[in-house]
Formats: sequence, structure tokens, C-alpha cells
Amino acid sequence: MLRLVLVIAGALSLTPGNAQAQETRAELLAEMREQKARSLEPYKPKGAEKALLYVEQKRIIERLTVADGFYPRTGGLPSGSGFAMGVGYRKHLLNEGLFANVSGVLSMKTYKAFDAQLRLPLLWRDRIELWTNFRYHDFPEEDFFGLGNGSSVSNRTSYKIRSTDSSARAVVNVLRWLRFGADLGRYKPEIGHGTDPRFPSAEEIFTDVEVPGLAAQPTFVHYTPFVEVDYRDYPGNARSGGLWRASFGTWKDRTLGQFDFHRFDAQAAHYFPIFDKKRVFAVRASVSYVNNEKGDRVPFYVMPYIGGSDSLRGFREFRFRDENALFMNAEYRWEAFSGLDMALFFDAGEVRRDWEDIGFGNLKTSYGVGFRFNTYKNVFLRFDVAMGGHEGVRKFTKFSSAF
Amino acid sequence: MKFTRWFVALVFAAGAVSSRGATPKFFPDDPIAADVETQDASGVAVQDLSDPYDFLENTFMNPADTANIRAENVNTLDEVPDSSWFTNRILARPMSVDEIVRGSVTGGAPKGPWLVVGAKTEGITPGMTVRDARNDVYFIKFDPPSNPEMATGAEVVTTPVFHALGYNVPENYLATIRREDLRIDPTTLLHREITGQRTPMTEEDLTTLLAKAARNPDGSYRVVASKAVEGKPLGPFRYYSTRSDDPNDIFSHEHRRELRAMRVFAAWLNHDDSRSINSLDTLVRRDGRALVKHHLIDFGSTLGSGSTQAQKPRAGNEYLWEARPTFLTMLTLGFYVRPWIKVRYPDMPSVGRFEGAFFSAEQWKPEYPNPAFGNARADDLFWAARRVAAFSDDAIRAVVKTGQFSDPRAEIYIGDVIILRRDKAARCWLNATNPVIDFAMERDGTMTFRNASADLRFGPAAQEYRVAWARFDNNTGEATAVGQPSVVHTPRAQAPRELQSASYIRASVTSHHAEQPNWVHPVYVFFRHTNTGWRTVGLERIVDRLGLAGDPRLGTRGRATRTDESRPEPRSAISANLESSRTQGLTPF
Repeated sequence: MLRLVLVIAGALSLTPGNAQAQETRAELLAEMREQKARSLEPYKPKGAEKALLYVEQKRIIERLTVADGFYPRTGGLPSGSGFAMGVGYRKHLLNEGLFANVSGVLSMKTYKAFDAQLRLPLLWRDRIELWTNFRYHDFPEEDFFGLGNGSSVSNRTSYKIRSTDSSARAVVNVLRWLRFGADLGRYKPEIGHGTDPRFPSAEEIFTDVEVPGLAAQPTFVHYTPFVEVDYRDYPGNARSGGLWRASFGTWKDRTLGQFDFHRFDAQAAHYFPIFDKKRVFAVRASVSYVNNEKGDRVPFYVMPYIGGSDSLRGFREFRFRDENALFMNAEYRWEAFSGLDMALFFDAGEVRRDWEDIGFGNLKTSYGVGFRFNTYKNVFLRFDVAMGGHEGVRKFTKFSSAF
Repeated sequence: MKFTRWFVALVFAAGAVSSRGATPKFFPDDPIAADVETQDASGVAVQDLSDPYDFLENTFMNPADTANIRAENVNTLDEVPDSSWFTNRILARPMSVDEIVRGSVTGGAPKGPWLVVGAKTEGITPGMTVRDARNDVYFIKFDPPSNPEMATGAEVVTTPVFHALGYNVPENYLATIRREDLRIDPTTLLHREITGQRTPMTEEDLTTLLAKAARNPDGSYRVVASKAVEGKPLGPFRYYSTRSDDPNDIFSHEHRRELRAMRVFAAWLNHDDSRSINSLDTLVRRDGRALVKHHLIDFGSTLGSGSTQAQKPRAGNEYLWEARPTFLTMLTLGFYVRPWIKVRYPDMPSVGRFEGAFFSAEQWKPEYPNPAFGNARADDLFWAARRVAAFSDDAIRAVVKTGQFSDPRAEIYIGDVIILRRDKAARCWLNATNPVIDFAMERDGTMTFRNASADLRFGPAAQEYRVAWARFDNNTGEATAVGQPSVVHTPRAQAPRELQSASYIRASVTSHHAEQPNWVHPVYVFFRHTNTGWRTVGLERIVDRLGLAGDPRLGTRGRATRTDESRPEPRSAISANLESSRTQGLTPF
């Protein structure tokens, strides 16, 4: 704009009193251009434009997300662990056939996690995946409220769980929408004194009789086959289709001989679009149950639970635990604009000691509203506000879709 | 510092204005047909554009000068002179259907085998750069597997239309390639998404790339081969301000007629991606000088195509971000349903989402606000509408035929919709102002003209025209009324006898019809007395406030710093002087 004023001013100073200098329009235009030629300067982006150009030209986002090498790790810890930051290193080897990834993360509440993954070369035209995983987790103040649907919020305690899990996974992608596979692993947990200063440690309130696994922890060998039917349009931000998944795990206590059990999980979700997918009714139901061998018990830390951002949002994470769990979610989602979907949701669920007691008569419920910032294919930020659980308003910020 | 520079500039400008004497409104060479770029631009550097910043800037900051002023680069007849931006083609001269269809094509179609010298395998849009047997460079674009023929068809149909309209566009060819026609240049490097490194392209990369493209039943691929445009690429141009390192770029882009008026063309052909990223400046040589030539590129997101998928229903109907519908939808829990969501489209994959029944030329919008489009006034839109209306049904159907759609229904449908949208655009904008054109004056003072809207049957014949005459002083810009205004019922009026001795005549013409309220805006037409009779040298359409409706940027947060004489607003003495001087002929035109 300044330049335009200068150019015009220059042209004006030449045209009037000495208008004879330009007797034609062409001369006037030529003079204006000559004026501008005296004050040329290269374009220099500033501020946000300069920063964004730097990010694009240096491919910063690509480097942080997909490229081989070091990358920042921010997630992978349970809800409530506080702000976490870590670092990882990943590398494709053998002409991208082999993929190795190691990472560690530490949170403000001293939650620690270290993970190492190795993906072996793909087989059968990329349809068979083989993975090996090693995980070390040290979570010092996990919440525990006691077992059962009637557990009281006033009994909130914390416990420390430190575990290592070495496993292998094989996945067969039979069709685009059908896959099955299995996990085989060795899981070694250690339960300790919870460090949350606001609440007592679990063993100060509960006994090992009430809460199996509190006193002693075995080493498990586990084997879990699964099958998955996934016909969602975009798994990261589904608007149509559905997802069905079932797994059946066998857990063997190899050291104490007290904790052999099976665990079954099944989940079904479906998405009903209207108005060209600008409105979606999404429903999900999930059931889990564990079944101990006769005379054995199921450790509390592997029991199914409800409560938290992925199940019953009006309640805290891990709020209700027991051997059997059922929860259902219904969401009405609508597009506010192309980068934001909103949702009204209703959750219901319960946990029970015995599967026969699971029903629809005494469900815990909650409801709320959600804001989902998204691209067409992925939700990258989710903010849900839930209530109705008579335990206050719960707010969740997540970096993935609800379901 | 910034204030000091502005102060100096304004003082300089004020001094220039106050010291000047009378300046002619019309120079002897007016109206000029070409804006000759006289400076050497060899010092122009490559400019990068941040696509996200472009979106943010244009959506939330509005970087342009939103003054309600006449386009700055029009000549005294309100037309756009030829330049490095624009070449007068349709309407300015007769164009045969064959010429329109041929478009920018100057040579033959590319010939295989093709050497792959560059490729993009990341993301969902595959693309390649190839050299053909003649060593010409082409950018190869494919159709998405979900919509065979859609993106390529849209590109080859739209490109010649924009060429005929006057813009610089690439030579685009529809071609068929086979896997075996492609050879990889050993020096071709690919950026690896995984490693972040650039390594030589492999046959496997080519297979991966082609797997993302629609494939013909015989295994070949239908592509658009877009020939590299002439000159050294300098990056895209912006739709506002000028290029600070180009001495020839003296008109703010948001005040260039051909960029403002492009809103009409973009709406007509649903070019929702009409933004900076789809433009390209190149450095070319003309008459021994380096000049910057300005191109529109990439018409893959036009008609019903969204390039990688069928066009989104929102496209053309709403910006990516708009506060009102967003909050309405939020607050009503989604029970407020945007009208465009309910629009139904035919189930033709090669068409995508394209329709004419719901289309509104007035309400159409690109992906995000385009500052030049936002500045378009009724005179700009009228200028564009005449060009749109100049495309005959035959020309449109012939251009659509070049899309070579295998489904004959698609060809007919696209042709029908383009014709319907043409008619809507023309009817809307030909009647948004006084549509009188083609003024001439005979030796005896008989003035004739035409009504563009009525002649093309987009409006009724005027019930009457009112003409006021004035003697015009070219040096002072003063118009002195002569005689009484006359009322005529045909586009023909007689100048008062007293004006026969005048050097310049100004006629003010208004048109009247009960159904056309916008026709009452006056058109000033200027005639110069010459040895051979009267010559039409000037035309100004006096328009009301901006002609765009439905643009949330207008009237709400625009920086309306200047207005033209049609609507004076309070201004500082300096800016008023500047404005006055601009309207008195000191502006370029």
C-alpha cells in the first residue's frame, strides 16, 4: 500500500505542472513503472507466514510424524497421569521390510513407560503382519475404588503397578474388512504402594481377600486370538459402516498357581449417516467377562472396568471394576463446520461379579456434549464434557475419536 | 518508523496534488488496447506460498484493500487492456467453436514413451512429471479410482473455457498411458515419507503410484498431461497487493478487473479452488525484456470434481469456515440444516457433484474468501457476465465433448448444467447494473447503443431510457449540462445541436423497467470530436455499493478505506485530494 502511494505520488508529481512530460496514457503508465522500479524489494514473509513456510519447507511435521529417526512421544500413558513428554527412535531396515521402534515417556506424576516394537517383513502380499513387542510400565498412582457396581467414590485409593509385557502378535488381513490374529505373551506385574498423596494406598483400605492380586502377583503367559470385521468408511472418523471385534484370552499363572483365567471381550459399533454424513447416529456396545479356573481368582488389575473417556464418561477413569462389564454408548453427531463435529452422547454400563447379574435394570448412566476437531478422515482433538453420574462434571481432552 | 514512512509518502503525495495544474481525463491514445509492460523484471525472485497461511490470512485477517473503487486497470472504456495477465479473446473478437475448443493448445499431443523425471507418491493424489519423446515436460494427473474420468474430464473441459475468457492457462491434453510406456529416469529422486530422504525412484514406486489412480478396463490409465508453461517458475501470485519485486506490477491485484470478475467465471464452472496455490507466475522474455507472466493452473477441482473425490456438497456453497451457519448449527444441535446439504446429485461417477438447479450465481463461494472476488462490484460482474453469455450452447457442448466421457449421459448432463449455470450467471449480473453497451455517435450527433441484457434475452426491453447531455472539459473534468434530459424508448438519442461544436460530450444514460431496479444507475459515456466524427473514448458504470450478496466479509469487517465518486464517504483532505486526482485522470486510466 505504501508503495502504491509512493508510485501514485510520483506519477502525480510528474503529470500535473509538468504534464507535458506524459502526453499519452502509455507514457504515464511507463512512468509509474519506472517509479516502482526505483523502490523494488524482495518479498519477505513475516510472523506466522514465515513460521509456517519454515515448517513446510523443512518438512517439520513429516519429520516428527513419519520419518525415520528421533521423534517426540507425548502419549501412551493412562488418563490422569499428567502432562507427559518423551522421545522415541524408529527405523525402517532391510529396504523397509523391518521396522523397529523404541520410545520412552515420563509424566509429571512420574508415570514411566518404555516400549520397543519390531515388525518383521510382511508376508503373503503384505497380508500377514508379525510383530514383537516389549513394554515396561511404571504407573505409581492408578485409581482404585473397590470392586463392584456399588463401589463408593469415597473409597478412592491409589496403587502402583509396575509391569513388563513381552509379546508377539500375528495378524492376517484376509480381506479389506476382515482380519484375525493372535497375541502371545508373558506378563509380569508388580503391585505396590500408591503414591497419590490425596488418597490412601489400596492396601490400606482393602484386603487381598476383597481384592484379588493385591498381595502377590504372578507371572502370566497369555494367549489371545481375535477376529475383527471393520467396514467403517474412515476408521479415524467413521460416519458410516461398522466395527465388530471379539477376542478370547487365556491367561496362565506360571508362578503362584492361583490366577488362571479366561477373558472374553466383544464390541460392536455401527454408524448411521443422514444428510450426506453431515449427521451421524453412532452406537456401540461392549461386553467383557473374565472366568477363572475353579479354585483360582482373577487379579483386580486385569478385570474389565467402566468409567472414563472411552466408556462411561460421567465417571472417573477405572471407576467401576469387576469380573463382568457391559457398557453402551450412543452419540448423535452433527457437523458444525468442516473442521468440527459436535456430539450429544449418552453412556450406560455396569460391572458385576457374576455374568448372570448383568442386565439393563440398574445401569450407571451419564450424558454430555462433545467437540471433535477433525479432518475428513481423522479426529485429531476431542473435548468431551460429561455429567449425570452424580460425581461431578467430567471433562476429557483426547487426541482420538470416541469410537 | 512505519508511521514516518507513511507520513513522508502522504506529504509527498499531497504536495504533488496541490502543485499540479489541470490534467486531461482522456489522453490522445485513450482508450488503450494494451498495457505494455515497459520495465525489465529480470530481478524478480521465486516466492513461496504457505497454503495454510493463505487460508488463515484470507479467512480471518482479510489482507486486501477493500475500498469500494472502480477496478484500477480498466481503460477509459471500462475494458481490460491486454497484458501479462489477460488477453482479450471471446467477446472482444469473433471466436469460432473450433478456436474455443482448441484453447491454449499450440502443438500436438504428447508422445510416448514417457520418461518419468519426477513423482509424488505421498498423500492421496498421485502425480508425475514426465518428458515425452519430443523432450517436452508435462505434469501428469490421474483420476481417483472412485471417479474414473471425473478429474481429467473437468480439467480438459474447463481449461479452454478459461483460455477463451482471456486468462493464461497451460496446454492440457487428455491422454492414455500404459505402464509399459513409462520409463524412470535414473536421476529421478523421490522423497521418502518414511525415512525423510530422497532416494532414486524405483519400479515399485511407480506401481505404488499407479495403484492410487483409476484404471481403464484394458489396464491403461486416462490422464491429463499438462504441459509446463513457458518461462521460469516464480511461484504463485496473491489475489491482493502487488508483487514487490516486479516493476511492472503496479495495480493492486484485488483491484484488477480480471481477478475481481473471475468470481463469475469461477462460480459458473464451480472452480472452488480459485486461490493463490492454483496460480503461477513465470519469468518470460518479450522484446528483449524479462517480464512476469501470470497463469491460472490446475482446474482439477472444477465442475463436479474435487480432484481426489467427487466435489464436496459444501464446495461453492459455503467457505471452509463461516461463523453464522456454524454457530446456527451448533446452537440448534444440528437441527438447522444448511440448505445445500439437501441437494441431490445424479449418480454418475464421471460427473461427481455438479448441478445447476440449486446454484446461485450471487451466493456462490470459493473454498475461502478470495480478496479480489470480495472486491468485485456490479461493473466488474457485468463485464464478466457478458463474456459468460458469449459462450453459445454449441461452444459449450463442443468443449464438454473434449472430456471424452464414456458415459454419454455424463456428457449431456455436464453440458446441460454448464448452460443452465451460464444463464443464471448472465441473468444475475447483466441486470445488476445498467446494461447499456456499444455506444456510438454519428456525425450529426445521433447516439446509438444497445441493451446487453435485453439483446441476449436475459432481461426485458427497457420501457425507456433517460439521457442527459453535457459539454465535457477534458482538462478540468467539469461537465456542464446542455439542454434538458430526454426520454427515449429505443436505444437511440439525439445530442443537442449546441454540442456539435464541443470537443468532448458526456452523455448520462439511465435505463428503466419496473422489474429491473438496478438499471437506473447511470452510465456516463464520453465522445471526443475528431476529424472523422465522434469517437467513443470513455465509459463509466456508476454502480451502487458492492454487488456481491452473501459474502460475510462485506460490510462487516472490511477495511473500506476508499470509495469512488458513486458514493462519497468522509475522508481526510489528503485522501480526498488523492481520490479526486484519481477520478480526474491522474490514475492510470
